[in-house]
Amino acid sequence: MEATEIVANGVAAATSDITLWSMFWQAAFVVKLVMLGLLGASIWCWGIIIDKSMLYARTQAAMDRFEDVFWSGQSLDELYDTLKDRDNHDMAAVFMSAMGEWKRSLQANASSFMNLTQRIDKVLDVTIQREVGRLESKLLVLATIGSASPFVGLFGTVWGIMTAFRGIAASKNTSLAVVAPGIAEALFATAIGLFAAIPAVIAYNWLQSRAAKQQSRLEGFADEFSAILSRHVDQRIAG
Amino acid sequence: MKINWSEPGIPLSAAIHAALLLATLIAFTSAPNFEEQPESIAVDMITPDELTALTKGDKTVKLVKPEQKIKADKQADQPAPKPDSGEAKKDIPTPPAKPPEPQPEPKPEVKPVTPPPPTPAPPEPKPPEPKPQPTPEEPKPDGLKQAPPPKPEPPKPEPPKFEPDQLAKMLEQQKKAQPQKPADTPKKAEPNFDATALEKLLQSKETPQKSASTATEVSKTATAGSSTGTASKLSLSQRDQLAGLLRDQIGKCWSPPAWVTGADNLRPMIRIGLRDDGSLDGIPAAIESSSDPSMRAMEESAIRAIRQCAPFTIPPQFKSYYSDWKSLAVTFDMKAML
Repeated sequence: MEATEIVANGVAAATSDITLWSMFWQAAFVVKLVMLGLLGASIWCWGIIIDKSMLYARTQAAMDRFEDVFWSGQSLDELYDTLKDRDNHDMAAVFMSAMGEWKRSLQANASSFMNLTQRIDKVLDVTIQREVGRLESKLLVLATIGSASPFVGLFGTVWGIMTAFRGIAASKNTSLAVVAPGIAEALFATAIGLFAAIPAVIAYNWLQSRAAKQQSRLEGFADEFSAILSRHVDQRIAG
Repeated sequence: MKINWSEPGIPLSAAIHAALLLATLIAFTSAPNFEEQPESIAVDMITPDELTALTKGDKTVKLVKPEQKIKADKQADQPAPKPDSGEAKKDIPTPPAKPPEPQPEPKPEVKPVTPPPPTPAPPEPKPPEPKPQPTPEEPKPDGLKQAPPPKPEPPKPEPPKFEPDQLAKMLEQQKKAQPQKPADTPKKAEPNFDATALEKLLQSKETPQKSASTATEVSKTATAGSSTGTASKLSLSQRDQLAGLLRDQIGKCWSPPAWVTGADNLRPMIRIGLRDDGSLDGIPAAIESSSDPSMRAMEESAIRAIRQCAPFTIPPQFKSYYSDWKSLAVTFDMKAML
C-alpha cells in the first residue's frame, strides 16, 4: 500500500463514522479475508451444532423406541423381519448386523456354529464403531474451529494494527481520532474469532459427552444381545 | 439449493447469521459518542499542619517585602509634578526633625525672576551663628503657601544634608532680586517659587500616603512567616503539663465503673479533639479499642467524663501551640487521677 493511500485511508477513517460495515470495508485485504473466513467458520460450526443436536435427539428417541420393542417379548425373528426392509441406524443397526450373522450361520451347516459367538462379537464391534463414527462425525470440526479461530482472529487483529500504525506513521498524526478507527477494525477481527470460537468450544464439549453416552448405551445393548445370542448358540450346539 | 431436512444445519445457520448481521448493522449504525467529561482538576490534600508549615517564614531572609510598586492604574492617578507648586493636597504634619528649610528665603517677593540663574554662587562666608532653629510646630505647607517672612536676616548655616546648591541658588536669587524690586506683592511670587525642588520635597514626605496595594504583584521573597508556623511545637514538658491539666479537669467528672476489678491496671488511652477555645471537636474515642468488657467499660466511662467536663480551660500560654494540641491522647490512670 502506498503511503499516500494509507494517509487517505486514515483520513477517511477518521472522518467517517464507525459502523460495522465501514469497519469491514475499510479493513485491509488480509483482514477482510480473515473476517470472511471466520464468518464462514461460524456459519459452519452452527450448522454442525444444529445438525448434531437434532441427530442426537433423534437417536435418543430411536433407541428408546427400539429398546421398548426389543424387551417387549416380541420374538427376535419377527423383529428382524420387520426391520429387514428399513434403513436402520444405531441400536437397530447393531441388532440387524448380529441377527444377519446369526441367520447366515443357521442357513449354513452345523459346523458353522463353532465360532459363531466370536463372529457375532466381531460384527457387533464393527457395527458399533460405524454407528459411533456416524454420530461423532464433524465434531472434530467444532474442536478445530473452537481452538483455531481465536488465533485466526488475532492474526487479523495484528495485521490490522500493523496497517493502522503504518498509517499513523505516514500521516504523522497521533491523535486518537486517527488511531481509533484502524484499531477498532483490527479488534473487530478478534471479536469475530471469539464469536465463532466460544459456541464451538461449548458445543463440542456438550455434543462429545452426548455422543459418549450414546456410545456406551450401544455397547451395553450389544453386550446384552451378544449374551442372548450366545445362549441360543449353546442351546443349538447342545440340542 | 435443495435443503436436506434431516440435516438443515448449514442453511439454517447461514440464515440465522444473516439475520444477526442485519440486526447488528441496524443497531450499531453509529458508535455512541462518549459523554463530554469535564476537565478534571488535580487536588492535593494537605493537613493543617502542612499548611502552617507552608506559611512558615524563612529566618534568613533579609527583605521582608520588596519595594512597593504602584499598579499601572494607580500610577495614572498619581499627580504629576504640576507647575503650580507648593500646593500640597493634604496637610502633612511637619516631621519633628525637620531641617529648617523655609528659613533661607526670607523674602519670597524678591523672586519674580522666573529663570533661576544656573551659575552657582559661591557660598559666602557667613557669620557663624549656628542657631539650630527648630520650630517644629510651624506647619510647613502653610509656610510654603503663604511664604511667611519670618526672618529677614539673610543667610544662616544650614544643615549640610539639605541640598546645598539649591539653597545657594536661592540665596543667590535673593541677593540679586533685592536691589531690583524691593516691594512686591507676595501673591505673584508664589507661583514662581522654586517649583521642582519643593515638589520633590513634598513628595518625599508623602510616601506614607501612597497606595500600598500591590495586590496584582506577587511577592517573590519569603515573608517573615506567620506566628502559627510549625516553629511552635509543644515541648515535652509543656505537653505533659497540658495533659496533666486536662487530666485534672477530667478527673473531677470521672467515675470509673465500680464493678471493674483491677481497674488500677486498666489505663484506657483516649484521643481528644479540641478546639482552640478548649471545647470538644468531635467525639473522643479510644485509641485502641479493646474487646475486654472491663476495659471497654473504662473507656466508655472516660469518654463520658470528657464529654461532661468539656469545655476545658486551656491556659493562654498554650494557645499559640494549638495546632499541636488540637488532637491529644490522654491516658486515664485511676491511681493518678482519683
